[in-house]
Amino acid sequence: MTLLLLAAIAVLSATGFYLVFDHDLFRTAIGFVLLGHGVNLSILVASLRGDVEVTVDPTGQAMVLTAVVITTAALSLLAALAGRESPETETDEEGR
Amino acid sequence: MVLSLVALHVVAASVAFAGSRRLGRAAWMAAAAAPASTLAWAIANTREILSGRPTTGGAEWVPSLGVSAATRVDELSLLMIYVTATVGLAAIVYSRSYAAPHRVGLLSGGLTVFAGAMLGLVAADDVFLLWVFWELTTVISFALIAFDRERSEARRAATRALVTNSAGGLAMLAGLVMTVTRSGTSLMSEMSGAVSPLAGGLILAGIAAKSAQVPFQSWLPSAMVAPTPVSAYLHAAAMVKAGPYLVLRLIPLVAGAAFWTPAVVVVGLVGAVYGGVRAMQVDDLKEILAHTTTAEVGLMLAFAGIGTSEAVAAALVLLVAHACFKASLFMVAGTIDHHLGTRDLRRLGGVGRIVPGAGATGAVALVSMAGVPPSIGFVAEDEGFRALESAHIGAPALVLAGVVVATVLKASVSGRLALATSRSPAARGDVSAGAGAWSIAPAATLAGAGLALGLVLTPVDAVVDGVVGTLVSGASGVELALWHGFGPAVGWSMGTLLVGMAAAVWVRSWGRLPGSPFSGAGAERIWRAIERWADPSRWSRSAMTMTVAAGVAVASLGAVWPLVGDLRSRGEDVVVVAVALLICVAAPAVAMIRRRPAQALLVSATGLGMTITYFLLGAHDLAMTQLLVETLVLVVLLAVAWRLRDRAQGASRPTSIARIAVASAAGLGITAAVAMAATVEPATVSTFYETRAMTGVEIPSVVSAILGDFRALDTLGELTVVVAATIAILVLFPWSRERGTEPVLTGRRSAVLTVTVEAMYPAVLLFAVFVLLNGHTGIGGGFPAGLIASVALVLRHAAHEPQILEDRPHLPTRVIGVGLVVAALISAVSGLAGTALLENREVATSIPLLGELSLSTSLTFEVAIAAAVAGLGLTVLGRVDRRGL
Repeated sequence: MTLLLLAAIAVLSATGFYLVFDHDLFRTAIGFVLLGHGVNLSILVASLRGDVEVTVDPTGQAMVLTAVVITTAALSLLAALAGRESPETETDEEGR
Repeated sequence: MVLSLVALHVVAASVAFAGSRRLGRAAWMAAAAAPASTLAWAIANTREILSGRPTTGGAEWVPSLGVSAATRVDELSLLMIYVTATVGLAAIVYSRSYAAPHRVGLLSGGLTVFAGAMLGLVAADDVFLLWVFWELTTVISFALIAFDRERSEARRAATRALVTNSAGGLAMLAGLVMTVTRSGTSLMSEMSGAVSPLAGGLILAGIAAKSAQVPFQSWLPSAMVAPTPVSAYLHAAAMVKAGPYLVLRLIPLVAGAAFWTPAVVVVGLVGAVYGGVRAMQVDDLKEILAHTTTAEVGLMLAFAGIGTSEAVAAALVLLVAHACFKASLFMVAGTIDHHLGTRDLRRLGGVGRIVPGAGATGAVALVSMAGVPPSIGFVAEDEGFRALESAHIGAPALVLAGVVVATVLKASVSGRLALATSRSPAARGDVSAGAGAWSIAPAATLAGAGLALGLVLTPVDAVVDGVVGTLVSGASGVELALWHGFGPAVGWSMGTLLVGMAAAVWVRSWGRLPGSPFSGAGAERIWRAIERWADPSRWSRSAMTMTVAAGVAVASLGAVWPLVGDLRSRGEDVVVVAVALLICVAAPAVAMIRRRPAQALLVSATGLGMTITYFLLGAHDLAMTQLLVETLVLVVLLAVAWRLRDRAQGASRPTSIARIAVASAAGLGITAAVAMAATVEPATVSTFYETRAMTGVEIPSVVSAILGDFRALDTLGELTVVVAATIAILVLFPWSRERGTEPVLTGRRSAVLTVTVEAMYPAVLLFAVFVLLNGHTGIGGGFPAGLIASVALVLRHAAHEPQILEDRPHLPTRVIGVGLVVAALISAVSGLAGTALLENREVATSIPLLGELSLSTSLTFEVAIAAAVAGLGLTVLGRVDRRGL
């Protein structure tokens, strides 16, 4: 199972990093989410203990909970910025 | 060993692919290495296998389900290996001169991969391994048929083949699973017990689809747009032969099933007659060959279905014969097409003058196809008629009639081909440029083999004898010979040959057979309807996002379902794999897909995968939080995507290699760091927390204790971030009345939504309070509570007139403010009371009429968080709804 988790971490982090550098802010926001997932998962995996019954360390869980909340807050800001119509890209005001 | 050989095929193909530009035509040698090695291995092991000691091998696969990747090469597999490897080799050699120099590597590589899949198919002992290779052949044939990607008819044909074979494959899987459940093992060599009619029908459907039998035969003629080597291999010797192979394999299993023989025989004979008739109707050379393939494979299926020793022998010899003559005929057709520029039978007269090598080869192949002695085709027919003599089957006269008609048609098609290419109006072609030796040699070898194997029957006889001995219980030995003495079989063979030839001459002078129920127009209509339904460009965007959402929902449901039961049971492996797959597929898909709504949904899919992962790892608090966050994030992203619908999806700049490299390196770096950390058992502070938290009135959840008490400062920081983000949004998008047009979430007001929300809203708010309080001892806490509350408020806003939030633009800030004030006050109180800052204190009070109530001061933090998150949710969801965002 750990191997699969590591694969997921790799995929999520790499994709997240890739998207974060995009020029389109929407994709940056999405990359941010994916990166957050990857990092959260990596914190959990690093704190795994036990071989037979794999459990998560409560401290790790608490840290990831905090991280999820913070990620959500930051994403909200990013998404709001992404959806914002800046003067240069303003489209037709009427009928849209 | 077999699995290593399969892997070798993949390696050889990779080399051929990679070197296709550099090696040019010589790339065929890289590809040919694999089937050649397979042949060598087969030859080396022939004596061993034929003396009754099959070669076994394999690897572990899914031990918890009792499925292993077991291979077993017995006489039948050996025969199939000989056939597929030899014809594969010939096709690869042929592709050297067929394709353009820089494409030879691709074509021959593709053929090698296919050969590898066929090897796996015929050597598999485990039923599921066989199915995997079965489906692999489907997928690879899709890629090979559409080799000329730019031609739309190639793509369409490939899609049809894929759809037909995949549907058949799925049906077959269902039948196989039923059979495995019934017999308790998935190894074919150990299976016994009857196959139920339903399972048998499903498996037969899969076989009929793969072998292009009625009613699934239409993919084969349209697949003739494929390059000739592909047709020569897949559609003559390999893919379509998988059906008869499986029928033969199943003989020990279906021994007691009374429905099997009639079903298979009917399917086979219908196909045999249909194919023959269609072959007489059409004029395109390759299409004729396609229809005759249906016909002959149908005959093979029928004989295999009968299952007596002679019938099995007949099927096997027919299989070998067909591989030889059909593959070489396809290659000859390709050469003719190349030199004359046409495949129309009406214009191929005198082709022997223009391409003499091809002509002679074709003639030899036709001899075998028509069943003229001493070719092996004749031996096959002869054996077939002998089998019908001694088999005890229902309606013997009908079956005999069917076989006779099919054989007559086969002979007449051969005659037609022979006559057309020698008598028609003279064909035009470049006489000086003869066909190269490279393209004639493989065809000639195969055609010659058809003749040689008929004259010297020993090798075929030995193998067939072995197969019959293994498969048919209580079998007497089978003796193949050119001449068994006078008997009805000889009469039938000769008779059908003569009648067929006469028919060929007769039909020629009459023009082709007039079509009507056999015109293939019905199938065409059905396909066009399917394609119209499946064409994505005709869908509206909403339909597409709905489909993606539905797909994700189904996939998640499938992954989550086993969680309903015991997590530690065997199903857990499957769930973990499914979730990992979900994440690993959805994440890169986000990067590649350009439509924003689809991106938002896929991100949500990864979030869902994360939720399940957290759940599986035992972090229940986290899982619930993640689920709620997913909801919020999805709504926000979709709303923003809608906002941006008029803006371009992003210029299609060439993907920066540097970016990919940096991202991959970073991702791998994180993974490596984690991998190293995960190998070390953490020296954890949690035990300290756990013991300390166990004081007090109730046993708290450790995570809540950590968040609210021991590491409350972290939570304070989290609070700060949430408040800061909210304030930032509020500042950046100030409320202004003029721009309040065109809301998103409230675009359409639905009465159903309004009533439902009004009814549920108080209960949901109460539930949020419950979650808040429950967090102390169980799952819950401030964050989920805040999210639930904000979702409830926004739903109310969406269901009613928009004015609810617009009338109270300062609601979010007020909510946050209240929470912060409460938190500050009670923290100050605890500070003044002499405890450490933010340390938890239980206060037990008794409320009149309600009894004892115990509150802890860490609850304040939960309240503060809940307030902050509710504020954030309200802000974002409310703002997102307005044009200002």
